[in-house]
Amino acid sequence: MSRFFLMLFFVFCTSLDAATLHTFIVADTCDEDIGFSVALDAKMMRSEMKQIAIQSGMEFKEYCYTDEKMSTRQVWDGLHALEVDKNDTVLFYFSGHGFRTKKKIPEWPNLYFSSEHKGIDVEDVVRHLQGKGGRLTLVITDACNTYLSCLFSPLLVAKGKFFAIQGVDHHLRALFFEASGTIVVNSSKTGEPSWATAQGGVFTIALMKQIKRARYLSSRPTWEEIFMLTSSAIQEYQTPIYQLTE
Amino acid sequence: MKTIALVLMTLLMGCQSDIDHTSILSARIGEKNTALIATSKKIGMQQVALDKNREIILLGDPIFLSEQEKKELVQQLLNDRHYYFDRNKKSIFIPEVVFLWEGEDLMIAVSTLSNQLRVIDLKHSTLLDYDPMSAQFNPMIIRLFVKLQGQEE
Repeated sequence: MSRFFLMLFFVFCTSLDAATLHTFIVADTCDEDIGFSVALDAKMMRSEMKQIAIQSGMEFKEYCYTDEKMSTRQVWDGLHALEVDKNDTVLFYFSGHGFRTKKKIPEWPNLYFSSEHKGIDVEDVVRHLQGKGGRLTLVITDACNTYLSCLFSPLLVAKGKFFAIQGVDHHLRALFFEASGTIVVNSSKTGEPSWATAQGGVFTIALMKQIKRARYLSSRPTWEEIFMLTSSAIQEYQTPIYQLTE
Repeated sequence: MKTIALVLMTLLMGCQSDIDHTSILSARIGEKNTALIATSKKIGMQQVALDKNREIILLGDPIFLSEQEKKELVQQLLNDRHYYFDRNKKSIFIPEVVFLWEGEDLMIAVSTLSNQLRVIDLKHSTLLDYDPMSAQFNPMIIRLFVKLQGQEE
């Protein structure tokens, strides 16, 4: 009898840990000016998230939209098809050009798809992913937040049917497995550019460095701390913005 | 003796940096284009827009730069210290005006909104971030743009 309860307890503990890290990567690798840098960002992010999933005991699922797969339609189709359990973490990462118009009030930029000259509003992505009901939703974008004239601004593609509002290494688990809510981050504040280098995006490189560093801290890391340290590391180039909500 | 050598070396290095101030730019846009910018007889400026395929379309008629304006433009353009070569902005490049080198296949499109310019010839197109010179360069572009508008009226 006691063996039965022991087994039941084991099954219960295992099911508690059965969470998936969904990594949704969108990178404008075809852009003639920054494509090389963006491709490095996507590579860095893919490899890091895979490691994080392994080290935090999560299942890893990757959805990658680069090269010819990087289109507004394919991204929205992928977002709609995404199936998320209540204990899962969803990471949406974008690297490419970003823009905003004077009419836009929220501080998050629009994400630019250069091959189509179209865009997607970060707000739409956040709302859509919140509607999936996962434990932690992370939306990280490495893109400019600079103004464009309304005349030239690309058409925004919002195919979101929005649902009701719904994110081993112990430090990585604290960030990706135990944290909950919604985190939205952009690499630069309103009106400010983000920079691409031959090594990758200035912001993405700094963020990856802080996430790697989090593994070796004496205390448990928090997302707020990660973003503060990322911001301070790149303050001479750009000013990242972030919002954490429960 | 050591001091003299040091002074001589410093002087030589100083001269070198004054002479060779477009080496990085030349490597980026090509020596031929660098030489064209420096020696052209006639430079025009014209308003532009992008079509739906993001190709540059010329609007209206060009104005031609005076000797003084030409000198000012060339001085601004041909200086390595006026650009960031180690990075590019993740902003969409939408030019407002272009400079045209008469009789040559060379055009420089400028966006004062993103502090970027694109050097375009028949084979290449190179985007450069000119933030270090924007405080001098953008007012010059605006001045020329006002002149261009005045011509159209």
